[in-house]
Amino acid sequence: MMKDRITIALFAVVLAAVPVLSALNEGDILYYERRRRAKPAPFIENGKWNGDWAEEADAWASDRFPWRRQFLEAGSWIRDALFNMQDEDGVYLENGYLFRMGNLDADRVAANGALLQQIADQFTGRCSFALIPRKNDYDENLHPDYTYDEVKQALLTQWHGSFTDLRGTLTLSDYYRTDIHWRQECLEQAASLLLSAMGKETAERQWTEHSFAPFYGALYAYRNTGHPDTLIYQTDSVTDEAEVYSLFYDSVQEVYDLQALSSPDAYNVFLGGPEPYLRIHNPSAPSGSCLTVFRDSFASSILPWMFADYETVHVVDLRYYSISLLPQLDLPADSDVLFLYGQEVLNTDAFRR
Amino acid sequence: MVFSSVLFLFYFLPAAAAAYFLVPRRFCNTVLFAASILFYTAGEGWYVLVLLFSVLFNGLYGRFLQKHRSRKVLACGVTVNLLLLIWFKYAGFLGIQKGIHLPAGISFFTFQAISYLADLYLGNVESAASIGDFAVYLTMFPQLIAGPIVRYRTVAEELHGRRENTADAARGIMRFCRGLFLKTVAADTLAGIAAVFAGMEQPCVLGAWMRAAALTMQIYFDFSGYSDMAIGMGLFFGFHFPENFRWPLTAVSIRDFWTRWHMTLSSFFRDYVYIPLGGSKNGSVRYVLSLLAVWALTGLWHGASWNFVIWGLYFAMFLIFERYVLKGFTERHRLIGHVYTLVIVICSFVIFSTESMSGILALFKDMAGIGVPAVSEEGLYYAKSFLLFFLFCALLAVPLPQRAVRAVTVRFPWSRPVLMMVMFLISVSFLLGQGFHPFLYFRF
Repeated sequence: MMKDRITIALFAVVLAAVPVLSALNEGDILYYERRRRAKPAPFIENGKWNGDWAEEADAWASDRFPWRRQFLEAGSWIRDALFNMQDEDGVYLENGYLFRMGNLDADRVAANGALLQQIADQFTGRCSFALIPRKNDYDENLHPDYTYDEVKQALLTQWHGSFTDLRGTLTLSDYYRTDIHWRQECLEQAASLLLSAMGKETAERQWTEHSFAPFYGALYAYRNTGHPDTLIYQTDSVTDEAEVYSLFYDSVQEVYDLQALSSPDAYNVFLGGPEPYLRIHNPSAPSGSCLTVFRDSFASSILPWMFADYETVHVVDLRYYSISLLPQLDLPADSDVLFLYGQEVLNTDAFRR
Repeated sequence: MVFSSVLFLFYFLPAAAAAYFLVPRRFCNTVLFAASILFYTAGEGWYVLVLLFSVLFNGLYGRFLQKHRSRKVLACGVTVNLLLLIWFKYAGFLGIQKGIHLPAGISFFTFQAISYLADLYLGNVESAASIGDFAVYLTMFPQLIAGPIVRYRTVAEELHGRRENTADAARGIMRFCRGLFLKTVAADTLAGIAAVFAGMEQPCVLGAWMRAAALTMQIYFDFSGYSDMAIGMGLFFGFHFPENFRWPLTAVSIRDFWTRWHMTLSSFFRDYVYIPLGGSKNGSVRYVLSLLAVWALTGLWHGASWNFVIWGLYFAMFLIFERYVLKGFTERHRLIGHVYTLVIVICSFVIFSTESMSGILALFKDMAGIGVPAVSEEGLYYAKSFLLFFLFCALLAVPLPQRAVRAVTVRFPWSRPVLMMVMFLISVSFLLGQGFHPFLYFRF
């Protein structure tokens, strides 16, 4: 009898405590899931019954659940430690690093390569394509996944210019454990190789490191390992003096967007994250030197290593800027041109707007 | 609103339970009815009117039928119910009208209403004392949307004479937690696993069978988990709903399987369709025709799509085969029976869960190894990755672990609340990580 009463009381207390504790849960952002909390759902919307009310109200309640992160971590621990489930939504965990698997669409890579070749043909300066390795390329364990060589091979069927292979400049520890991106503070060799492809030498820089923790990478929420990263961004006199013009905001900004550190995606601290077009002006560089970079998000963190030698750097992200509008940017035809892409973007339709 | 949601577990259920136990006893049914309407409206909006129409019509018609018991009067009542079901569920399938919203649980509450009218006609029950009583019976939220299909006579006395007690309530909570665990931990995870195998770049026999097995267990845990939660909540509120599953994956024949799977639906079709059609006592031809009719209807009940009709007839075929060819062989050789039944059942759920014929054939081809290797690198990787979880789910599908748990809780009574809380918290940890996962049987 007593055990029955305890069962009922325990259940009742837990059920009743959750709404109370949920009400105390403040804050708009779930950093570890890199998203904002769901908003309360209206039952009537525009005079009509909101058919998704139950689903939306549940999302609202779930997002405010007390100790939500700890519950998610417990669930992940059960899947990892008890059931040894290596793969979850295509994300696996190996030696503390999270990896996202994918399927290669070689035709898509080749088509994107052809498009970039057409753009490259419009420039007369030095031109190179640098394919950024995925961190999966440094995972020695066998997982059914595509490789750097397969992507390179598909790309080179359409890209006929200079190609820079960055694999030798990086190791697994040069990537965030919970994110797909590389770590800015580890990119000296990669930046050096890219600059030498442009015929430049790496300048001596006196960096100051700034840490931000916890940094929850894009893969963190898949496995909730309980071990987020520390994000480091570097400043020196060059980055301090540089001015970054954003076409999207039509304003001049700084190299590091410190407000992004309190946003769902702290990686956006580097050059403000997704931007269709940026023009970086570096007053301390030799006059007239110019670099045009076609890029994805990986470039945001390596560019501060590279623009010391260029007075102007045009940064174009074709995911957010239509190719047909490129003439409006008035990019100098004789500038150095770098195509800097990770394999994941090159392998998708989202490569271009 | 689904049971396995934060909204239901931590907001609706405590509020409904608190209101139920705080009001004077004479208002308990009113609270239950109000909570049920709120529950249905939260998920279905204005379609609650369909439910209310069914309540009013069948409640009033039941009284009429009681006074004028005849086959014709019964037929009229059943026809109205079937027309309602046909309009909302089969209008698209029959080419009458496309794009009609399917009110959740319409198959369940319509069948409950039909069973009520049929039992009144057969003299098995007296009509409900009031429309209010009937309304509580038909709309009771624990079993409103996905069963079990509760007959009026099962709960008629409890509608007024029930006495909630701590033993039943504690048992109900345990049962509810078990159901939640099966749904969130087993079924929803298996759904993800089945999707992984479905999306393989390198299909192989191993992957195809693991996908089919994952689908089978997913459907089982999803539906039996829901039934457990419904039965558990029923106990909590003082009702004793019928069992709906009895370890169906341990069956030794298809006949045996259907005495263990969705038992309330099987008995509905047996009592109200199969036996009136003649059953097995009027010769082989009548038996086969009755069986085909019942199983085509069983398939159609599950969904307005040809794959469900084929699924039903597929079982009819094996039931006939067992009656005339196997003649109890698999019951006598139980190991063979287990393997035979599992293979047939797993294949059946390939048909059940794939709407297009091309999809069904493609998966059967992969399972038969036509054009694909026995094992691919990708298939082996995923098989290894999910092996332990598969074994865990296989254990959940047989009675042995539950017997062990029962033995422990009998020996150490204090372990029961601990076990309940562990199961509940693990379920919540999975629930929070999985987003919105409605029960599969909501669409029926």
